Amino acid sequence: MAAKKSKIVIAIMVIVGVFAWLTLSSFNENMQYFITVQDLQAMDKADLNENLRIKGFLVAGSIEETSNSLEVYFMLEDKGATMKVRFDQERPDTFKDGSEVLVEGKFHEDGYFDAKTLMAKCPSKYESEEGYNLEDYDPSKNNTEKENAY
Amino acid sequence: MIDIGHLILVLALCCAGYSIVISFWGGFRHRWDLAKSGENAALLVTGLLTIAVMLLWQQILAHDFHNEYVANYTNKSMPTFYILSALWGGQKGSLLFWGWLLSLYSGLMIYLQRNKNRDLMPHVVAVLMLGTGFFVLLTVFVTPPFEKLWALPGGSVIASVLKPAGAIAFGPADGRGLNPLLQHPAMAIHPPVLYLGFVGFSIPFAFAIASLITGKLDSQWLSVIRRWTLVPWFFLGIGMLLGGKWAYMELGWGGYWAWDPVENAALMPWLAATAFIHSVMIQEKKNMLRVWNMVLILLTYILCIFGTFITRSGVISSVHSFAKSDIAGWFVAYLVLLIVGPAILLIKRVPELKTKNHFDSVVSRESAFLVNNLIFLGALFAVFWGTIFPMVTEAIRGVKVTVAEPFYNTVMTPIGMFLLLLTGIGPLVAWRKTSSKLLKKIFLKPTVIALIGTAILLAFGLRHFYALISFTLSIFVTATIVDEFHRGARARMRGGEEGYLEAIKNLLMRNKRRYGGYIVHFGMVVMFVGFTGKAFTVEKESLLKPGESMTIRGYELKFFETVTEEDANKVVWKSTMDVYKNGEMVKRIYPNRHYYKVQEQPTTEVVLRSTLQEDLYVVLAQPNDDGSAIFKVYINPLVNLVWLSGLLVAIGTFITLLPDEQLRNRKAAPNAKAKPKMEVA
Repeated sequence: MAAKKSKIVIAIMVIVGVFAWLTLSSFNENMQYFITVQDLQAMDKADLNENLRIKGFLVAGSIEETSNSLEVYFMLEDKGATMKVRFDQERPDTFKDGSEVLVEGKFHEDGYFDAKTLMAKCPSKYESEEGYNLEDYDPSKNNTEKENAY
Repeated sequence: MIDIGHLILVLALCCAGYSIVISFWGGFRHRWDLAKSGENAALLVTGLLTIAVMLLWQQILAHDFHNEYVANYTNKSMPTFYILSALWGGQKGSLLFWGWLLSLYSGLMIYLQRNKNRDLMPHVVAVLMLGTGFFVLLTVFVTPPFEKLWALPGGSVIASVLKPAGAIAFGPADGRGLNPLLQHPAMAIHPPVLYLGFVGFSIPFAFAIASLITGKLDSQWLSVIRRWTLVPWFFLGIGMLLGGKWAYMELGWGGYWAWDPVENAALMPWLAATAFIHSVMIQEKKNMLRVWNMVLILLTYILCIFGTFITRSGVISSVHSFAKSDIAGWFVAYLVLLIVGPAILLIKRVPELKTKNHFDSVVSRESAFLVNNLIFLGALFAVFWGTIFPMVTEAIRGVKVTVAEPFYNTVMTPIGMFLLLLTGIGPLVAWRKTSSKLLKKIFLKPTVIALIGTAILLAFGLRHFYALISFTLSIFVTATIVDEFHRGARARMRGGEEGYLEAIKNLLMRNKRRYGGYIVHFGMVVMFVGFTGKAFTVEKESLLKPGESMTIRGYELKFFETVTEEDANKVVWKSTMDVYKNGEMVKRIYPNRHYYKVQEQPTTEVVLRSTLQEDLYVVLAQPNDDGSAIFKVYINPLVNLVWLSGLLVAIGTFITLLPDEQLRNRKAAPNAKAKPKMEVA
């Protein structure tokens, strides 16, 4: 009985051990700082060469498209701080002026952040922080403009 | 004037509060008259919330833009189908919707159990009303869906339940409408299906708490909740698939799952529930793992609420937009209650829950289930850790550190493979102990078939390591399942009266749980094959001038032109392309982009050339002014199997949920005995 029990315990320990190893080892490989554009200024120079995930807001009108490839240049800002980003894949639909953007990648020597992935916040159902804009309903403003748009 | 809907919610909150108090009181004091009163109050909550939901729907359909919610999430030009889905389209409405679903589940439970489990039911009702009451509380005080717009004397507009002094009611000419990205059939039904899952786990949770409170820890509560665990489990899974389908069709990046915190929030309770559904069988058969099962079902519900909390409070950044809102504190309070309360009850009952039964052998059904549970919890832990890691590091080091998507793929792939293997082995090894002779008899054929399959795949040049393992295991599991059906049918045919097909049918209908379970397992195999297709995805981006072509793995796409159309709502760029496969034209496609002017929202309208084997997925990424355009093209092999697997899981789950004929006959006979003892003090 005792032998059987210890067999089972050993089997469980092996499984748990393999999992712990698997999780921890790949965890360290894939860790990246998650910072805002503003945090960049306070970062160690050494850390800036690491893989980073940076959050910021797309500066309105800053997108420069290139007509022969999908490569775009744009600026992200957060509380006054800005950064330049380069991205060469298809942009998500949610990527538009003012939207909150997450980029993952590394800084290039030329000062641009080479984004490997770009996520823009899905303007999902649960938004309401900015979604409810009082001015839209301001009766002092003419509402017919909006009406005509539909 | 306060909206009547808000008053109804206040009334519902009072009823829920009354029901909680009176039900607990009745339950503890064995006063069944009080318990009955608690049930009636709970039914009243169901009725009131139904009226509230109907009222909100009515305001939405009538375009009553005096209501802030209606003005913010709908407009006159939306099709009726999407207008109706606006009920759960925003935070306020969706919280009301959540509470309503829970009250419907509660009402149904009260009706079904009206003559049964009288000792447990008062506590069940109280716990269910606690959950319902929490969400109604939010709709009354924090996120009121019946808030109205008011124009203040100063000229500005605010939303308020009560009329501010001197203000006049205000209704804009039209509302803001639902984001066009969300106007997709899969997205319209994805939230309610997902909610049916999240909310439904309240039922097993309530029964677990009731059994802990009353000390009736035998298998009575388990038999009640077996079906009520499968139902939400099913909805949660299908809800995730629908979400994936939406992302695939609407977001235009060629994928359907990205390990986003919001996706993880739904996956975590699903993993815990899957573990529970398996390990509960050990308890039924061997009365073992009673503490463990209790922990699993409590954990499942807590993870549901935790998931709702992280996705709605904005504490974890996600690509989905969940604005920081005031509900975070409320959710934390509710979560603390959900963790501390059950933990105290559980610790108190642990001595009673412990059993004397032990594992007999390493190679047995019991240990297969145990390993299954460890794997599911391992997966759960990895996902949980990855999801909350930014919060943890921020709390400890002051800087957020996240794990990138590759982490999940590296960890979850081997976990998935191991689960797949267990899917084949687990159901076939015997309870207690399996002799090596029996093992050989069961597994020889499937193993040989799987190895032959591997050899064929190798011969065809497949060299991808995980894909090989995945396909091999898939063949192995499929072979074991087919063999099970075959052997079962052959055994039935020995009587000589049944043909092969009839024998299969009877096999299925006489052992619904077992063979329905096999069908679910087969659905999972198909899903894994679909996942594995991801390894062979290719993508290509090309700039094409009119008349030029691009090629991608066997396809040629010839581009003709892009035309621009504009109407009141949107600008549309529409390209025309002919798709050739191996030199033959197979389809003319029109990939296009829309730009919705009011919402300033571009949308990618993906086009597919879909076959079971693979999807050709074409996106018009960038139309240029000179008539050229950049296209992004993906080939996604086997992706349709992922959607198809949902159907198989649905069929399998449906069969396991069908009523058991034998059980029903048994119950029907001694009728008089089942009458509940009504004890009036």
